[in-house]
Amino acid sequence: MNKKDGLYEYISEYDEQLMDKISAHIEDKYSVTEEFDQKMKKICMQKKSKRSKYHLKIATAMVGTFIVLVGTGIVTNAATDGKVADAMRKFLGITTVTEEVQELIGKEVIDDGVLEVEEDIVNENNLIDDGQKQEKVFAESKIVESAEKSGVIPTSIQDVQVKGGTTPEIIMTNGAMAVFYQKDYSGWKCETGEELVFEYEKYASDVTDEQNIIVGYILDGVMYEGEAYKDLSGNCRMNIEKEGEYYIYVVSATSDYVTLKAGTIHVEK
Amino acid sequence: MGAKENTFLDIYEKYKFLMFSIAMDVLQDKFAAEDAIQNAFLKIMNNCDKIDDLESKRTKRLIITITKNSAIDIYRKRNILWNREIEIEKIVEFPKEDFQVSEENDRFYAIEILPEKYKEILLLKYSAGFSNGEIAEILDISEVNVRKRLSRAKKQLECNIKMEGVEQYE
Repeated sequence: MNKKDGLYEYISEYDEQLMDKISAHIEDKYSVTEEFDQKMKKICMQKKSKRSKYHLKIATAMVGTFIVLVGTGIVTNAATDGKVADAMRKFLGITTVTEEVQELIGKEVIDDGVLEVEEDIVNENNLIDDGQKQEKVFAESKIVESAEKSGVIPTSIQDVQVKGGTTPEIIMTNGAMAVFYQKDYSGWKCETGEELVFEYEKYASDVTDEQNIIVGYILDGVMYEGEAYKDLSGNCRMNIEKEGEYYIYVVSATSDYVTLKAGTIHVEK
Repeated sequence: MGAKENTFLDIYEKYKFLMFSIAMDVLQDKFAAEDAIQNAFLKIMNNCDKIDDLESKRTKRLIITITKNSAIDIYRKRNILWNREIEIEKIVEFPKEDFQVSEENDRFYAIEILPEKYKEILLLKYSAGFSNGEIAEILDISEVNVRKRLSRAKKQLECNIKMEGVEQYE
């Protein structure tokens, strides 16, 4: 054995002995207070881990950069019960409101998971490639193919069917985009001068008065810049300047869950 | 971090009593110890990329070192505030004398009597296996300082081994 190996062995052995003694020492000696314990647990659940490998700064703008939460335990506020956390683990993006997720309505999101950047959207300089991320996320939809402005790209897209002009209740996480369509992926045929109207209503949030959503339209596969709607309910009116088949999209621009009640989409002449 | 599998909550639950014991041994004050744990945990979160296995010696060493130093920082600030003399060597004898090694019968005496900062850096390097860069981040010192301190620590350890007649490690 050389000197270096011997040094490792000697110090490592010492450390093992020391740690055994420390472990024995702490048994029942001290206990943290319940109040402090809760405070620390909250810190643990709120703090996101550093992703040192890529040294990426994560933008938290409206839709933000294309960052995907992989394998996370997204859990909700510690003050809520375990059912909520269990429910949240079941989806990221958009889902229709069911018994499984209804506990999440109006709740705060606390993410204790690991932020991972999908490697196939990272270029050789370890930076997110806008082109690749756009291509990847838009592949999730049969309706939208590109964005008019490259700066606004959702984190995920889901096409959501509208039946009888009524949109279903959906719950969304930050950056997720719902694209509404009718039977057979058809949109709403509009003439110049008409208005495409989306009437929405949100469930109130337990944690914030402002639950921003972005509502806009898609024409010929292109997503056009939408407008932000803060109010709990309202009408989003889009003046049609060019005849065509239009689709409406909604993006959640809120860090907590946004849940839309059933709404309507119709064309007004 | 290895926090793909281990969340911060797992780390906290696993090590909270250890952290509290270390902080209490340094500070002897429950509220100050809680402050130290909180500060330490924020630092652990920033070093989470160094944690792979929750149970490993490397993880435990990281947590012990950060917690102890966090407690010492608070101890220093409080004593500066109270204008007291600070003798760090006397306050960081963790674990306490109830199970420290003795000169007569322990082959680890040479390392036990090292100044705390030397012992700490040797444990991080040779027991936990951290690189110089990682140690620099953990201890908030430059890599040049890490190299210098390691070199001095090794020399001191060799000297102690020779003086005490402890079995050579080579």
